[in-house]
Amino acid sequence: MATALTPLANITLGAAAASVTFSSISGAYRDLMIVMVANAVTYTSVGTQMTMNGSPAASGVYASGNGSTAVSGTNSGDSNVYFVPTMTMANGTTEPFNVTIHLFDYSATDKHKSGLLRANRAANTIGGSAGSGMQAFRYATTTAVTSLVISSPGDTFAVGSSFALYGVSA
Amino acid sequence: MFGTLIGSVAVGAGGAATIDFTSIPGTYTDLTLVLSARATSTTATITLAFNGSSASFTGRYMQGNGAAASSTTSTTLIGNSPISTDTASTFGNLLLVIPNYAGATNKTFSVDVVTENNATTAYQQIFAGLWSNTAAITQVTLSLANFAQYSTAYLYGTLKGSGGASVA
Repeated sequence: MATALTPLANITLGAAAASVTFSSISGAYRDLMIVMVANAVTYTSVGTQMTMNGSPAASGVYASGNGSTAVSGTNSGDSNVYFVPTMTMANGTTEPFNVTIHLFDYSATDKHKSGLLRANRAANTIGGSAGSGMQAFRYATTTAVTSLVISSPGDTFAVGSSFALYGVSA
Repeated sequence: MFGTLIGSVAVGAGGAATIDFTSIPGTYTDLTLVLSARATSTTATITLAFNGSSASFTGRYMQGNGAAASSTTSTTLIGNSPISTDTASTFGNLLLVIPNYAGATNKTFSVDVVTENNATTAYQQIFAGLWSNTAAITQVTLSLANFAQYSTAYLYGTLKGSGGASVA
């Protein structure tokens, strides 16, 4: 039942950073998976996002619950996939924001790039927006994914934030 | 996520109150637990403990029941299971992912759950969980009243790579 997961890259921040880039991504796999566990130095209400090489237009549909209300919505209009726009990182390290992304057929050149992500932040005592969310997204390009940039405008990722990239074999 | 199989449990005749993975090595980066479960009673709630403790858990979840979506908070509750009065021979599924389980920070985790029932009510749930404890996780315990025979659980470990990313 185990899938063929190959670790491709990983970084755990030793200093605060505005963004993290996975570049020169091998096209040898079928899918990519990204696991992020992150905190902000100082959160904003903008949220965390991901762009791919060439910055094609991106869109997404999400559903999330914050512990009292369930909502659903869409986002589009720029080149960013937002990690469930209703949720943000915490203003500190005790309530990490955990996101898992599955990007399907990332190296194909005959289809747009689609994916699924889950975002989780269980507690909300140190600022920002908590909840459990899920999102389907698409980059409107048939170009293969060779690089991904994860950032949070207005924030910096705090020391200890981790970002791991895996290849999934067919 | 999945990865390398660490252990598995298959519930035998008579059922079981807990499914327990102990002595989990700290050599992986993330853990994934895949559960197929059914309750022998009409109590549907599956709860979680780490290292034998049910303290210091915080959670928020969203669920749909076929008629409406809702959201609420939880502590050790991580999902529902089909119960004894639901469609026979029907089990639900739960996927628990714990990134950085052996690190020295508080532990965040995610849970995705579906229950199955050939009726108007069944559940899909997504949970965000936090264990406010910096100890490495060496034991994962799931509890249900009770797990029925043929319930199964598989625990996997995923190991991260190194380098290959740049920061700005």
